[in-house]
Amino acid sequence: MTGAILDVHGATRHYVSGDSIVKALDGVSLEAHGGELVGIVGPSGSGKSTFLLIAGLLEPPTAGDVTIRGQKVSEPGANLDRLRDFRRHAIGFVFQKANLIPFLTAGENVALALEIDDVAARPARAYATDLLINLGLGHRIDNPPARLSGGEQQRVAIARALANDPPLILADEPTAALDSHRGRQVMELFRQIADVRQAAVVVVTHDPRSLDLFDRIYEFADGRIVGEERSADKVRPEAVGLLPQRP
Amino acid sequence: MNLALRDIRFGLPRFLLTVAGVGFLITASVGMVGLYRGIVDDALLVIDTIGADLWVVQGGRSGPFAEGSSVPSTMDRRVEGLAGVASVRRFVQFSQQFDVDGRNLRASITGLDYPADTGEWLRLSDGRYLASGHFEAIADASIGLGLGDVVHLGQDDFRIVGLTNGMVDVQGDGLLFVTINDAVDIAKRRTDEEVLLARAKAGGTDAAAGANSSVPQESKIAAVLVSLDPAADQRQVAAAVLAWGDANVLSQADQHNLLLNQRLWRLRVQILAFTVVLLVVMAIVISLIIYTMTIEKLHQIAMLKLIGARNSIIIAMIAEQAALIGVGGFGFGLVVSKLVFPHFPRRIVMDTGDLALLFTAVALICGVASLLGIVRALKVRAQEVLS
Repeated sequence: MTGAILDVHGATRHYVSGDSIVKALDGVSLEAHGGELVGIVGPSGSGKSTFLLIAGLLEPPTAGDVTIRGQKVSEPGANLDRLRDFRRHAIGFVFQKANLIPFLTAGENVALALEIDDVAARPARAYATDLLINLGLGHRIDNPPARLSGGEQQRVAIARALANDPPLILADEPTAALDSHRGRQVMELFRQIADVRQAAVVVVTHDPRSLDLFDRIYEFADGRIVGEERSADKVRPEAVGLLPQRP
Repeated sequence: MNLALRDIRFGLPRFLLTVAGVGFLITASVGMVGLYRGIVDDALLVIDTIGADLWVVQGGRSGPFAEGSSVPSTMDRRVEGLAGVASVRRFVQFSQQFDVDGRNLRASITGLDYPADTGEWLRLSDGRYLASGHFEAIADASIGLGLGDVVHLGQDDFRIVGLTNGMVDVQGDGLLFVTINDAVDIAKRRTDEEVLLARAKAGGTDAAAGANSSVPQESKIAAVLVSLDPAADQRQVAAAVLAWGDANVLSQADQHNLLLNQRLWRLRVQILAFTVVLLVVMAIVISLIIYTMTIEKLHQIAMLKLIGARNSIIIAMIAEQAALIGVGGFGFGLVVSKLVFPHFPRRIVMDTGDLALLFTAVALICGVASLLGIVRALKVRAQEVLS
């Protein structure tokens, strides 16, 4: 485990709704270190997704700040659109839905993340192919998303999130649309990403079946952290080759 | 990676149908503008090619195209005697329907002042010019006659000895050239009822019926075409003709003006109005297509922003697709126009300048529509992926 990749300090997010103020997040502080798989659980409306938006630099906090790899990048009033380049290098996102670009093949979806980062088309495609092979999708590289199963789509989304080798992976209920077997496979993949790539992986989940894989689990309620559990004997699945050479 | 091309590849049939739809709109616009050009060109065809400096017509009238005109067939001798006149030709033109092999055909009979005028100012596609003072004709292909065909006009048979292409009158009827004497004879042919009606109207005499009529009558022609000496003063010649009192004189420019701004004015405005409506419809439809294509991709655009795509990537995707639709539609429209319009009954003139203007308009429409789409796309926030 390395130093803090993500440091969210006192994050608060208030929304004005008519005459009242909704406190979606209320002074949450959370760190995630390299090599750590951090789980966030809690009922709907507890602030899990809002936390992820703030940590992922998609929403600025109303109060508090976000530091990634020692650099304070978000605070109240921050222009997050200007952080697009930073986000590209620093954060990989995985959501409940894979959100793949439907008109690109699996390989192109992954390669796109690299090409956006000015990697030439050929090496980008080669790296995307390596990643997908390592994730067990070598036979699906030229298939469009519509021809992939839900689990396969989610693994392509994970490959895309990994493409730029970001130190931080944020996932919002990535197994919600999958059956238990495939859900477990995806969670094991996150565990491996943390272990092999030494990335900080923060996963919002409702799924209690894979909690044994997490280093720490935070419980959210009413926009606050109401519980923290550390797992000393977490399960470490057999590592797969998740470290192809990024061009 | 070219996202625009990847998207098109993914939905190729839809893209092709969209291009075809835009293309047909462009075809309609090309057709409407071309129809307008064709009508104007056809109307001016004889005036421009016949090579007359002045047209001497019936006094008080602006014939023979904008109004009827009827002058004595000997008027050319009077005109020929004026100082500055190099040569004169008699001119007559009238519409005629006739049957050939059971087919009902229609032509605009045009008299050539043979032997001074054998029709050498015409561009023949086949055959020869007139070589005899009687019973020979040069026909435009649009009439439906072939070389060697014999057609019965008036009381005589005429053999088609030459063919032209694209020589029609203002109504689009193909021109059939015969000698002026034959043309006058053809015009003389009236049914018994016509003769009786004319007599009754004019007090019972043939002479009175002809004198007051503005349509070609016995021994009457429509106009005398005047070619001037190079050093002649056109105004002096015109003044001399006007001094006679029974004749009017029009220049080539006057004929242009009369045809375009009087006789064809309403038709031109009508076609131009339809063209404007069509262009507006085309602008709205193309804009909607491009804007809708962008709106449909907002989720993907949000995803692109989420994974860090620069605005230039998103702008390029939208602009390239708009450009491909515009260029593809224009190309498709042109190909369809080239294939279809030659079979239309009226001439459709595809003028390079008009096509360039239309392309500019299409480019402008695509540009504005893609700009609207781009503005909307740039407002999309990355977190909308989650919505």
